[in-house]
Amino acid sequence: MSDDVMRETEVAADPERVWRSLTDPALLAEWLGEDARVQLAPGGDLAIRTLDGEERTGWVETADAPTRLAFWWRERKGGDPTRVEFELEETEGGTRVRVTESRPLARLELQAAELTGGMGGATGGPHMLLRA
Amino acid sequence: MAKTETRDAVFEALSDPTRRELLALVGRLENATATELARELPVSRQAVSKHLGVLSAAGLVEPERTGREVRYRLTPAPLSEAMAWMAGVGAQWDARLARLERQLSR
Repeated sequence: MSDDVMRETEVAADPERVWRSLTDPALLAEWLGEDARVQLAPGGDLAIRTLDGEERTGWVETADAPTRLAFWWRERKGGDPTRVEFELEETEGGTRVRVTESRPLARLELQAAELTGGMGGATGGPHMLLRA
Repeated sequence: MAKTETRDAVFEALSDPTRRELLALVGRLENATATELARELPVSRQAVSKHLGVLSAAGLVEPERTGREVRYRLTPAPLSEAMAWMAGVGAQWDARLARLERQLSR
């Protein structure tokens, strides 16, 4: 089972306008977080204080205006690094926005744990659902 | 529990947005009572207790009784940790996209 969270919505704005909402600090402040600093290039730095009150930092993986933005981020005080990808697709009435957040590293750790035969003391195991 | 029953119970337990939020909260607060959890949610303590019962029956959280208190925590298996992560992150994106939609509808 994969740790992906995917959400999709359609907005009545063209992809260029949606792209500005995803990348302009003043617009980001209204829906994602404040004090955003984003270098829009592969490997560029990213920092933002989300409206959930988390200080998040990371780096940009892909920035293909106005269709694809992918970045990795994590909470400054620790926590799992996760990957966020936005895909914008022009539709008749506007733009379909799809966002996916995943934990590729958590999966790698799980696979590593399985390969070495231990689950670090966890009682259930990664495939509890399948084995139960 | 047979595997299909387990899967159905988990699916059913997570079908409700309040329960998803509650599960994420149990993961964040660790060892909280129903009263403490209810303080963080816009529902009554009674409703929280009922939801905790469903999550517990699905094997996602487990109650621990100490004296007169019952404290809840995530079942120590990667599955419930993953479920809690997905529930929490999902709720965050729901709220973010709703705000983005508002911005773009102006």
